[in-house]
Amino acid sequence: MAEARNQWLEQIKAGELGAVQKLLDEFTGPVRRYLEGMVHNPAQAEDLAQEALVRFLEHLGQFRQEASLRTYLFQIAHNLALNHLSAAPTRKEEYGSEEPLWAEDRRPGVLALLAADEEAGKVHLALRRLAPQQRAVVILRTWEELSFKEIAQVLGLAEGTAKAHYFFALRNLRKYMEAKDDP
Amino acid sequence: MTHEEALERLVCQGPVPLEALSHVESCAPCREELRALGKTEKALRRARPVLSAPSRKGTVLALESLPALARRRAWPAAAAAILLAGLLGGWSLGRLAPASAATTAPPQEMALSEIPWAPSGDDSTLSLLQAAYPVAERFSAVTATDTGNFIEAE
Repeated sequence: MAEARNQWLEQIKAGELGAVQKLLDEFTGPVRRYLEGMVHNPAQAEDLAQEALVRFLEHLGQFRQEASLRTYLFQIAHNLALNHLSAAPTRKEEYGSEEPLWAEDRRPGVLALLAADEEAGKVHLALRRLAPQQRAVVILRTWEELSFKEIAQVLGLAEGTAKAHYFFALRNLRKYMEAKDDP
Repeated sequence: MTHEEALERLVCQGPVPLEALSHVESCAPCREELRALGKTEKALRRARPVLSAPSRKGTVLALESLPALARRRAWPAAAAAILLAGLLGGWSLGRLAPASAATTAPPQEMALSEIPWAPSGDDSTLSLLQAAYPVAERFSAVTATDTGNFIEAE
């Protein structure tokens, strides 16, 4: 298993198209979904996902074998998402507020509008209101099914901190989703 | 153990301390919140967006970054090839130099001075070429007026 993965990595490093295509097939979707959950803009998520994959290929030499390929990719994607979100307050003219975009913009995004049902729409709206770190933990845990250990690696946190973020994120989500039901 | 500590340990799975379990068993608000958090978690999982096929744009961009990757990887190989070529060139020159001396020259090789039509004392490229191709030398000597005579003669 590990041998096959190492061989795959070597093929990617050598620039073998088949190996790179396999990488893209396996990871483009999850990385894009994660970024979509983080930035709530499919077009920006698409761009960021591509940037993440290109950065991954460019910095493949720095990849340590003991980390999982998936964790490393999500780490790159997470950093890109944080950079993107930290640039959000500079767009205050666009939204007419000095608060960070993730905190104040509660209008339904494309994701929420396209959501299959009302519940999913509520979840996406509530997700937008979470702080980025909590949002990241929740998405990585429930959508990407990463373990808390992996989440801690991606976010550069202690495992206990990742668990605490998850717990408080669930609590906040519940609160936000219930608040939406209020008239 | 506080309500929060007990709930956090139960929500985040892993080994649950008995203390947390016994707290929740005896605490109705905690049980209620645990149920609610479980529902929220399920709603989150259901709201997971369905993956669409990877876009071609992404594939193209990623593949575009590959030549740069390959170039970087090709550098050591190219440097090694140049070094090897240099060493081989140097080695063969070293082999040729003593070969021009009459003592070690193999029988199929001949010193320039031994070639009867070789130019003596002039080692310019043109004269060497003319020496190597005596027919060409004859043709190059044919002037415009000579050409007529040449054709006439034929």
